[in-house]
Amino acid sequence: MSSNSAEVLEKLLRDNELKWLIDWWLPPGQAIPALLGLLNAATKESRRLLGSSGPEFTVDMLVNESQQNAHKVKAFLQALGDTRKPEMLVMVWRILQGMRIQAIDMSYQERNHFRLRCVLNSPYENKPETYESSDIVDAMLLRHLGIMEMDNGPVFEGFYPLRSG
Amino acid sequence: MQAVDNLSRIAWGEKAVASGKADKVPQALAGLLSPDEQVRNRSYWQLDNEVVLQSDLYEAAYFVIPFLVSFLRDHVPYGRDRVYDLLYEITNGEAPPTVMCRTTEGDGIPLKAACTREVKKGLAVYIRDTKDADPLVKQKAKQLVDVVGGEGIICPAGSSDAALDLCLRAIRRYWPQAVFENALTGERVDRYESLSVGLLAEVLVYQNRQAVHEWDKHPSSPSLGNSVIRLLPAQGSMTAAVYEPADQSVRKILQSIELPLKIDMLNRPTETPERRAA
Repeated sequence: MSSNSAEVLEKLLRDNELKWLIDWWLPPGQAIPALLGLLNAATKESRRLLGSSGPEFTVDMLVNESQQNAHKVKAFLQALGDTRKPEMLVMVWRILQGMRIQAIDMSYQERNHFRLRCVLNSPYENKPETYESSDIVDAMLLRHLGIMEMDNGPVFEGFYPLRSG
Repeated sequence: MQAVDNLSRIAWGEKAVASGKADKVPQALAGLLSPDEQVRNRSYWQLDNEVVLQSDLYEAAYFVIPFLVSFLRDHVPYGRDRVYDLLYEITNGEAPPTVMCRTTEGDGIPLKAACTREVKKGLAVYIRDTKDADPLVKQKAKQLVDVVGGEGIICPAGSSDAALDLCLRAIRRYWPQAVFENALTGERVDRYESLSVGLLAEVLVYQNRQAVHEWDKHPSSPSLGNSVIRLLPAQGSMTAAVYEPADQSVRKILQSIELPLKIDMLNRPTETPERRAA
């Protein structure tokens, strides 16, 4: 971790009204190193799942993207505070990139198990990608999904930032 | 303001008006936005007597239209009612079919058709203004929409970028081969993922490449009205406009867009979570 990327990530979080993520982290002062570690782990996961074409989650990439699509970076940074699983961050980014949400299965048994399974697919060809989590915190991610109907059928479309404040 | 800055890009001295050449048109266009009502009125009548005199259209009318639409899109603080008056006059103006105009698209077509086509490009802006807080602007926007034709939806949107994004994705569901055009620059991309959504002030979405070619070749053809949707994000609202609202295929798309915006999906608040351990 370079001190520069730590500073830039902190500024990015503050600019996106996510100061709480830094201030409320336990143990105090460890938010930025932990989040950078999560981004790094997401890159590894992305390469494992998608090969060399998988996205690389660097602070520079997020800064560059925020100049074109600030709302997408805001949504992604909010997800950074919503999940502890690198795989889920890859999934979020793939939705932001334009992947369709083809299927979501969620099962839950009180004090026993939680499972979230999302299948994404390309809008242009049949290339499904499956993402799974057993961490109940990841139920938070569902709040960001766009909701619409097509021919009276349900459609989740896109991943959006929640309103701050 | 960008539109005013761009006034000098037009060779006004070569464009015809009722009294000769259009050298004074840029000054009158700028005057239309003056905080001084007298200046605005004087500018309006100057334009009204030069580019469209007693319903007769002159060449400069065509070149004035993009600026008028741009003033409205930018929600200028003064003169929007007068801008609508001028657009209305131009839309109802006439010119003999033999009077031709070299358009910005590069084709030579009758002046009347060129003006009609150019006014139609502002449809999403007029539809947005039918809900304007200023009753005069609201009324005049409605009048112009009635004349131009077309329909649309206007929904509240907390984040205009996110709302635009959602509309683009919803349209792509129906039109997987959609082509997206930055309405201000004319730049087109085939893929949603290539878009810089945050930098778009207005977007045209074409059904596919074929529709783009058809629009380029026959931009005034009414039969193409169901193959393009105009999207106009603005602070606090999102407008989607179509030229053929009776067409079932585009109506379905509008309905799909309307649901998430009407349930205010993009305005859900975050919650400050419990302290989180790394």
